[in-house]
Amino acid sequence: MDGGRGGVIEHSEDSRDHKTQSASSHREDKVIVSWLRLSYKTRIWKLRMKLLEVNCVIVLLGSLTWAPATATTFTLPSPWGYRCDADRCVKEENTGVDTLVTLNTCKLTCGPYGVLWPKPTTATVGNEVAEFLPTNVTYVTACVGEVCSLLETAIEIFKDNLQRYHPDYASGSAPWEGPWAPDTVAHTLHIAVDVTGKETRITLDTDESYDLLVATTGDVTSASISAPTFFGARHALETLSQLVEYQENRDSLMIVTTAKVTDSPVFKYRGIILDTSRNYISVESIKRSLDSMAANKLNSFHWHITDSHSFPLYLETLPNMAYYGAYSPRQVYYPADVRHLVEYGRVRGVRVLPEFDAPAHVGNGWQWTEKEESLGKLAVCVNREPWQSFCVEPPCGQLNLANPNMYKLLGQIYDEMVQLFSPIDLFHFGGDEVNLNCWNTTEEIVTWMNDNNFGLSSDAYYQQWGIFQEKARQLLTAANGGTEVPGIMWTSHLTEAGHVDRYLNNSQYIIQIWTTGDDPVIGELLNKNFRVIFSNYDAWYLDCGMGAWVGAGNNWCSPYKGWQTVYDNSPYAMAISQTGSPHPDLVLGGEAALWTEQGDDTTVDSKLWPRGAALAERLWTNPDTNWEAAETRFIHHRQRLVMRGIMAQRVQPEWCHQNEGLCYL
Amino acid sequence: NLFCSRYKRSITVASDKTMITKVASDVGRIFLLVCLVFSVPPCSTTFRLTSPWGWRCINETCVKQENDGVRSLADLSTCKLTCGQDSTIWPSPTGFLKIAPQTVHFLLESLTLRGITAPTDQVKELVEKAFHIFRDNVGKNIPEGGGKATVMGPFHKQVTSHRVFVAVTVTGRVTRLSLETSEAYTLGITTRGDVTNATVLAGDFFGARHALETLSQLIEYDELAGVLQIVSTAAVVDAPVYKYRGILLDTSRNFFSVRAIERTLDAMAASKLNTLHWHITDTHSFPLYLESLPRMAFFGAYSPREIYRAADVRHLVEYGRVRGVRVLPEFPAPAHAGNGWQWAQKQGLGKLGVCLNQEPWQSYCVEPPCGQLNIINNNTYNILAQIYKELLDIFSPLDLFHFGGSKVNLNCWNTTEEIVAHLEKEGHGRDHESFYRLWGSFQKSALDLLTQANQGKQIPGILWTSQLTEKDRIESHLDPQQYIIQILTNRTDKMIKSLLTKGYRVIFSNQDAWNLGCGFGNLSPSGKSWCINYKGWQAVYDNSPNNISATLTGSSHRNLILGGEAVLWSHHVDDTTLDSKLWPRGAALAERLWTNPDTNWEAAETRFVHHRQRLVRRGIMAQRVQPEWCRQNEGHCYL
Repeated sequence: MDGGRGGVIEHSEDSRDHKTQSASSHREDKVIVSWLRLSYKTRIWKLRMKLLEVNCVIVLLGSLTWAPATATTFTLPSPWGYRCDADRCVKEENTGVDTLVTLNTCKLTCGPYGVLWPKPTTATVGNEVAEFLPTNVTYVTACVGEVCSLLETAIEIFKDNLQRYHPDYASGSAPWEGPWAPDTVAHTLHIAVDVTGKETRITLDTDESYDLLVATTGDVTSASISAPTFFGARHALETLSQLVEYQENRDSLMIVTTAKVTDSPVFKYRGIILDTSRNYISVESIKRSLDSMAANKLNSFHWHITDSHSFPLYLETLPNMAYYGAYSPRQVYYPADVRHLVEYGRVRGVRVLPEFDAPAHVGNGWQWTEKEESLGKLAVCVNREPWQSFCVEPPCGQLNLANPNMYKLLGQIYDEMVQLFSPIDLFHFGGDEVNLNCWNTTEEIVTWMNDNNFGLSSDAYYQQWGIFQEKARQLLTAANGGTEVPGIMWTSHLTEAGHVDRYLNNSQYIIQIWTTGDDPVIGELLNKNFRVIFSNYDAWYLDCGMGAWVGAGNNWCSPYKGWQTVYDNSPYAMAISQTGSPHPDLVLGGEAALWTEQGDDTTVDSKLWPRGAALAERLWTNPDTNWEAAETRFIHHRQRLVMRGIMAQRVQPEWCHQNEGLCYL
Repeated sequence: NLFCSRYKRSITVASDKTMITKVASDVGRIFLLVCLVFSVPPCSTTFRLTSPWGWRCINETCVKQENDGVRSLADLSTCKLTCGQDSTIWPSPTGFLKIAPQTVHFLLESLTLRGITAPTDQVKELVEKAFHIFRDNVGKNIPEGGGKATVMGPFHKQVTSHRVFVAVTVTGRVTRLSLETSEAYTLGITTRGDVTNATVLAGDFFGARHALETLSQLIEYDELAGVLQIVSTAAVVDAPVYKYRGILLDTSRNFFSVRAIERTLDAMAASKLNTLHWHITDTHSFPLYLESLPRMAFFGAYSPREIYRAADVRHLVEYGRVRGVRVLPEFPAPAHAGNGWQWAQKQGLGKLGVCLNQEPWQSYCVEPPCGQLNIINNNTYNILAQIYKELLDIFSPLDLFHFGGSKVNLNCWNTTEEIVAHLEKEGHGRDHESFYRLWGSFQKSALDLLTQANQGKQIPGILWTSQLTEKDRIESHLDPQQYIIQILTNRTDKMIKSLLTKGYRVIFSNQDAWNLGCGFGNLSPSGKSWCINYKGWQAVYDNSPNNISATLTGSSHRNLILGGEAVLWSHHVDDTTLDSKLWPRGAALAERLWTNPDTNWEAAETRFVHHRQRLVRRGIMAQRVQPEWCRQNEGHCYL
């Protein structure tokens, strides 16, 4: 007998989701052809379901001849369909006369942007769909050099994403079984991609724009993509995949027959930060994060690899770092893993940006140097207690400014990191939350400060921290073969109001703001011409709102930041409120942060998504409207992420998805 | 590729060598050397670092230390297994507990069921099933799945020849959990020579399965030896403090797959919780396929893929039973009924649901969509009887039933012409009390219908606290012999006192601690969430029904407080986050209800974080509550 899914599809209004939604002369043929494909039993069953629908009366009451329900043998049909009414999908009962469409069909074609996420700069989306099978996708590319192979990969990813629309997709394939109408089988999606540029690495100068034109003639839907760079072209493929949905009634795909999209991002830097030190996150989970970022046209995966808690990065030249610093031998990133992830991100339009946090936020992993006479203690206050006196959270640890060998190792670390992540266009130095008391209670450092006549004042320590940062920058430049790349630093004591430019130079550093969106330091940074990235915790810290992990109560930045808060957090608005100008030349973009004190593989998806998607639309589109205008598209996009294997959290009862606009306040 | 595989092999050898030379003090340097020789990036699938760290039990705390080469320290799991009073047993046993600090290694295939002594074949069969589940859980301790050790031997003869026998004796015939089931057990482990005997003695099957659960928690994988280990000697005497230890799952706001519910039952069993309260339907959707009323799901399910069939329900009931969990159905009425009832009018039965999806929802219900039963239409009762009948059939045999009964919106009824006309015809007023009387008489009918459906046998009904359970109203509508009241309000609510002093049996689900759905942005679309704060595991753990009662009434009312239940309303949840919302916080609830410790969460913390790891190993996507550093450095993440 036909599997569960097939059972429902041969309704009397068979052609209701068809390409043209007219073709009534062909309707009967189609019905008969697909009808004949079914086994006898299925036909009988379908006949019953058909009866049921034609009469609009379910004559099943007590009809127990109708085999008792077992989950695997049949699927109930649904009496519901959807009608597009004033850009809104309205759920209605199929009366047997009307031709209502499925929810997916309606969402694809209802409203000016269909279910595109993030919303394109401009788009016209048609209101008809054509059914096709994922096997009927052809393409041609016009490109130069390495861009061609990147495009090939991007198209493979696109095809895999099509497979994933099937509800029973599992590891690489899906059971497309039909029965299909002849039109469906004959229909081809033909993609033509034209990329003019040669860029194969994303930078802050990359033009990620694209044009996409979808048109249908006869049995062919053609999608023409033109983009100045590979990165624009892959975004176009992403958009194209969002003009496609699963057609439940047909067990096929469907694509909007006509569309025209002209699109480019508002912000250059659109990121997610993931912390793999507080808890280890598997390579597989990081790949899922990159998949999901690609689905949202986010372009920067900021990898906070190490911290005082653990050092999971295996360095070939310094294997002792991970040997001592990893939580366990199972919780290590090897060079092959890192290279794999960098490449995995690149073909998905995502830069994998390393952060090596220093001089604070170091600790475990550095213990071994003490035993080496030639090195000595390179990190101080490691795991020192009571932690409250020496750091912001357990365990403590800071680099030993007094030991010049520390710079030797730091240089070595940078060397290998630059190599692993190469070529880098940005580097994140971390640089936050230095605890002066740690240094000032470490004998070696105090002696060194005194011996050099620096004194022990706060200013003296900040001065030394500034010098450390300059040395670090030089080491990185050396590691990068002499090529300077902009360094990113967290807002910290070095960037405090009144002296943001005392230690850092605005041509060398980009400042990432993690304090609240109304912190006056934002105004000062912009007024002093620093380029900035927003990660203000009151909206973009995705770990907030759990229980506390030291002590009772809730964690420090509670409550949870709902997707609405994430969506409405506008970098330009924050810039304007402090300086009167949006400073588009200085505000590079933003980044949502997932610190992992209370998360690991089991929750990384649900903490990042779908809220990361809310961030994505803010940064790509920067809409004038707030979350309310985006809600129905957002809910649908969350479903799409789940289809693609991302364990994104639900944000509403499904009833709200099926009854657009009725979950209002 | 060829190079890579050859390279892998040599690197594996190298790392093995490194492991062997662990005794040398300069491991790091040797390792460095090894790595420099093979200056090609390691292939992460086979190459693995070793670790310099081990753990030593000092004052009942596992302390992380560097292996100094003289003594090989234990790995973390091994240390936790034998260090401290309660080992890593969760929930902590209430009776006697003694665990020797030694363990013995054994292979999974040497773990066998030696014998079952049971009064009936049914009990024997249940024990056999429970043993299989137990053994499967033991296998899940072995990393990288498949029940295969990463270190595949050869093992020392002492390991390969060691046998672990389990013998189970059950004296009682009970095969269904009820409020009278004792669930108590004793477990003994002794080791002599190359045999370890685990002996379980229980008054009923449910106690026996709890014993096996405890036994599984006395077994851990030894990372260094690459093999399983069991504590060599132990004695446990254990019984739960509360009879009712539950989790509520709402499958109406969002649908959960059968597989996800199975996982929930697995995790409940691992924490000795005993009731899955299934809030099947609500106004949002009607996912239950009833054979006698297929139209309920036809109209009420979100989609044909989001339906529970009779076979699914029966499967889950049985899946729970062998894991010591009662699957308790709730069919909420007369409010919280909506989608799924649309069909009746066309069938000539009249309107059975009123205010269905009515707007503006704020006037007719607490959250969209609205819907309440039409309690003046006789057909409502006929259909309700049919629903009860089928529910009893697929969940049978039931020892409890949940009627729902919360949050009735009087304005809905009071603006429904049909109901208003009826009240006027009958000469009743339209004041609040008239509506409450109407509701009260509905509830009485519902109870009668349930009893009829249950062949005349009365079972206690559970009702949520509501307007009907208020101090001055409850006694005229609800008989304390027939109803158990589930407390949904805050711990300070005066209603708790009135319920207890009037002699009602209660189940605590006070939302200020045990609502696991809180803290994820606006709960209803209202934007003004009534539970904005997430309930951390600490708050869940410290919520003591006993203390709440003592504070409000001056007595602990041990005979009336049946237990408690954490509730997960699913506005923001479906399959993707079910596990992480319920676990490990559900485990915190479990210890409160099983053990009811005098101490608070702090005393339980290290066991708790270890138990969370155990749940993850068993395939439950439980959330992390701390950095791994805290787990490896016990007692250092203090405030």
